[in-house]
Amino acid sequence: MTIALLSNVTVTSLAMRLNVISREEVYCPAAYNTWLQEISDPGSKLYKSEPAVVFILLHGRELFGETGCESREQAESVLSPLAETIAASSSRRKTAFVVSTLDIQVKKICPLASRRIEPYAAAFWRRIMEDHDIPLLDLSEIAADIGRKKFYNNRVWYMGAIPFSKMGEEALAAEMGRIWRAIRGERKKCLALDLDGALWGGAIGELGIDGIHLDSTGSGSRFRDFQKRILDLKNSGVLLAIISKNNIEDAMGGIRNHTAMLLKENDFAAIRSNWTSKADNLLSIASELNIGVDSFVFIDDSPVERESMRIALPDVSVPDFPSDSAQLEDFMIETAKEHFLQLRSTEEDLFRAEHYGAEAERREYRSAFGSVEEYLASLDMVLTVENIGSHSVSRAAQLSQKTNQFNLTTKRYTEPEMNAASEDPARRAYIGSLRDRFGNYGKIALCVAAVSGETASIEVFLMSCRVMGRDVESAFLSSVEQDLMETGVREINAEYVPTPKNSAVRDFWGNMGYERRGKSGSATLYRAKLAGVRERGAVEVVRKAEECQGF
Amino acid sequence: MRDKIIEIARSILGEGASETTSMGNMTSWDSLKTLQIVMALDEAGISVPFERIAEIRAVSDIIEMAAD
Repeated sequence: MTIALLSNVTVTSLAMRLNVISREEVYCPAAYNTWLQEISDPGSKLYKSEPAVVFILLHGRELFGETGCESREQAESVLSPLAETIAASSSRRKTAFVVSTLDIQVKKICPLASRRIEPYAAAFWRRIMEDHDIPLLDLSEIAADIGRKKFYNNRVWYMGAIPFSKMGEEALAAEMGRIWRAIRGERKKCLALDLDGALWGGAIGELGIDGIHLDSTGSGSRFRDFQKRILDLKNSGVLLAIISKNNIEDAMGGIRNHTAMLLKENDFAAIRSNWTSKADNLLSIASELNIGVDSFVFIDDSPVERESMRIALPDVSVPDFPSDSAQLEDFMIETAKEHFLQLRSTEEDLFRAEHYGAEAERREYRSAFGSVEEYLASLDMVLTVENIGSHSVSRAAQLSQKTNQFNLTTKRYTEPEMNAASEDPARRAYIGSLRDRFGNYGKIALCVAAVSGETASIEVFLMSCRVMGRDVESAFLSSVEQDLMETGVREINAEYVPTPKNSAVRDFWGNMGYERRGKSGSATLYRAKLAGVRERGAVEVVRKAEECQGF
Repeated sequence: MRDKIIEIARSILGEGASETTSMGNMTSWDSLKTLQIVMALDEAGISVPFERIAEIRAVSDIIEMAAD
């Protein structure tokens, strides 16, 4: 895949650093300051390179030419058309456009009581980008964190129109690398947290609830501030879990009864407080939440626990914990950037936290029924199946990137690839959303089929593991088959491509009545003749021929 | 200082670089690489006078300029 990096200054050196970090080809126009032409012209080399993301990194001062920022009106008249061109180019394409904020230093010598245009212009730029829902590469924040004297380098600016220092370029490349990973859907799903020394200071088993350090003001607020940032993550769809070595009564006493505890019991999708190994506890949480071990980030103040986790479960991400507890909040901000960055929140991210609350209700409800069939029938499940369109492309690509277990081919799509699939007349792309009496799961099933005459071949068929075990897959397949039949398809080819994670669906096609036809490489091939409508179990299916616009 | 300069030159020009490397005997050394070397030198606190950056043709030039 290709990453594009456009700018109004020389970024060739930055592009080389980004290439090293991302291990992807970086397209960077050879001619100086041609970014505007490149994004405006549909036939440009930029678009021919078919980038998966376009970074537009702008050196604020250079946008204003010789005179600099003169007045608020002039600043707006310079920036507005540029911003509108970016917004228009970005909305026309499914490629993610990530645009830098502007850091415009006031260079002009003026009295202290003067009207300074530069900060106004930077804020104005940020506001238009936010109004257009464009993801931002926060260059001005990076410059502020590092300090301008270290972020910029006047010498290479005058020698070669490179504004940034080595440190500045490295910080920008690192940030773009993180954004790139977020675009590829490599966001982790669960933050597993220690209690003593992490969510509060001191050992609750020894000090008791009144002895631990945690407060909304003063020195104990360093732990509360840490919890604030963890709550931000939970609200963006990250699952929280506790893995603590404590008696459960002590742990729950702290969580439930400490007045300064910001995170509440129901903010956690799973809580383990016992004396068995943390790796075993993490495995049991992974199985309870139905997510892979590689979706976890493990936070613990004890270097011994961190090292044991790294050895026992190398796929778990284990960031180093700050030795100074005054750095906890900054540490969580860094951890979030590194492992949980997202371009924008999808509807499903917001559902997720709600979902795990509803899941506990479901479990309780389940116990009232004798048979699985009775239970499923009582859930009032409704699966809505629609063709993938503009408002579902992003989620469809995300599903293809993140789903490992119930995934027959594990074919991954970027947003542009998914968009191409949805617009291709020779392919049919479907997405399914599920709700039941307890809540909405959002979009959880995906299928893309290539159609040639009377034959369709399934490129991808997957379902989120959150809804496994409820016959949703057969209802979804049934709806896909029916739609294909109505377009003239009489025969479907399908395959199972094994991966280390998808053995649960090894016999899926066989169970669905598909006939096994041999192997091709590691893939097992299947075929089915379409005759009638398949049994749909307890799931009611609603088909939408055209997706409704908006939400 | 000399060792540090050679180390920085290597980090930009490749492991093959040494005190005798020059733009004449290493074709991949272009003006951008020179600027990257200057950026890395600046960060390491090794200063080549601005007026002389354009004269850099070889690793030995840098060692000489930094010593002045």
